[in-house]
Amino acid sequence: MIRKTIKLFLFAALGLVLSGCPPGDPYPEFPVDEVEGYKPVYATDAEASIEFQEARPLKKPGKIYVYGKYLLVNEQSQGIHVIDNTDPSAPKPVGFLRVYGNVDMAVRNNVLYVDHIGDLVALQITDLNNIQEISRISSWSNDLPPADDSALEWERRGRYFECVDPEKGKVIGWILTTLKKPECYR
Amino acid sequence: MLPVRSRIFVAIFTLCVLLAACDDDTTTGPLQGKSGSMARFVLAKDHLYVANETTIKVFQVEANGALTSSGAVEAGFGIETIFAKDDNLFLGADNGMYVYSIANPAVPKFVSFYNHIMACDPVVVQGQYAYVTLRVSDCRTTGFDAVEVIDIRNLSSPVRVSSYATETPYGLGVDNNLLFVCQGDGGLKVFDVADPANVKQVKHYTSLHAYDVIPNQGVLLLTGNTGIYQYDYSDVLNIRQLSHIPVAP
Repeated sequence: MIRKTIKLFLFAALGLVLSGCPPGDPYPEFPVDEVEGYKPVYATDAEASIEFQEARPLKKPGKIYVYGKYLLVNEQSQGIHVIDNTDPSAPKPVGFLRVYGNVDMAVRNNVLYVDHIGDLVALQITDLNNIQEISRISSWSNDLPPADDSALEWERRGRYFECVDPEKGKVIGWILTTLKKPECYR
Repeated sequence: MLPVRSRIFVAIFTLCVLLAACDDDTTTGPLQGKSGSMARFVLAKDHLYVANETTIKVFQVEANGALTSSGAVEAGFGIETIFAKDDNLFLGADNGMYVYSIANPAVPKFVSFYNHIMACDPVVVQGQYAYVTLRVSDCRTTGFDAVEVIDIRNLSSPVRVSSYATETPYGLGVDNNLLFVCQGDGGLKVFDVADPANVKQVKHYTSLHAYDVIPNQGVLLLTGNTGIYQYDYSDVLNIRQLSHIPVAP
């Protein structure tokens, strides 16, 4: 990750030389002492697995999806609320599908497609209490903190983050907190 | 060699079989769901397309639903949303709307790019029009927040029909004559788009946070920081809230 960061610096420096334009933000300095940044949240493989659980309250609803009588509501980076929407004036919670890192979903012929900590996974959901994983493709890296999605590529307000240590498990999310002497930046 | 009449019969018979086969495809089509406009995933033509910053990732859906990767197409930059209609994908990107043909589903092919300077924006399509929100607030330093109606009869050269200023638009949805535009903390606006050149505001719900919507057979589903709301819009003149699932305190 440090190497990645150095590469990033070189790239940025090259960009600066070539464009002659100043970047949106000054480049960070290392080492820094206490600074706000992202810290990875780790989980073991078992903790990170996809699991159908009891319904839980909405906290940070994300994207929504309609499939037949079901309404699916993403709980940001936690999973999917499954709601029986047969009567839209009285939607009934059915359960919660824990899918860490989840943002998006799509369903066809009772197969649910979800992003799960960097993987794209197909789940057979005919029986919600017996969900079968039918394919899994590693598609993204989850080892970088979220980018400031509202900024342009060359204007991104960068952030320090605590470098990922694969020994600690899978990264299932990131929290914004105060870091002490972080060694990574994006 | 068959007599002429028999050959004509065979030709007509073959044609009927072919037409029937086509019919079958549409009547026994797969049961598929519906996403909001902010989606990065879309299912179309036995493929799953994933908008991923600069690329469209393509996955083939096998008979049992499993995915196999068919590669990726470099598409643009800052691609945030994806919408499928017939033989085309519409991508909402940082710098405009991209149209890609999926006539060959495994390899999306560039058709056109509609540039609207710089904005964050999803896109939805109905009939010959595309509807795009341009959000500059919290996002860009220049420009203004707006909803644009774009004529896409000629896909290789989309033309702007009209543009309406709105506050910080996010997701949007269209169903017949109604266009629903999410405005974050600014709530939900409903427009009448019967005349695309003369869009009229019908309603403005202010006491909720609106991020994205799905219009679904007369019921509007809305998601935002304040929960999930559903509205009955089957009577345009009397849109009413059906339910609200609040967020936990």
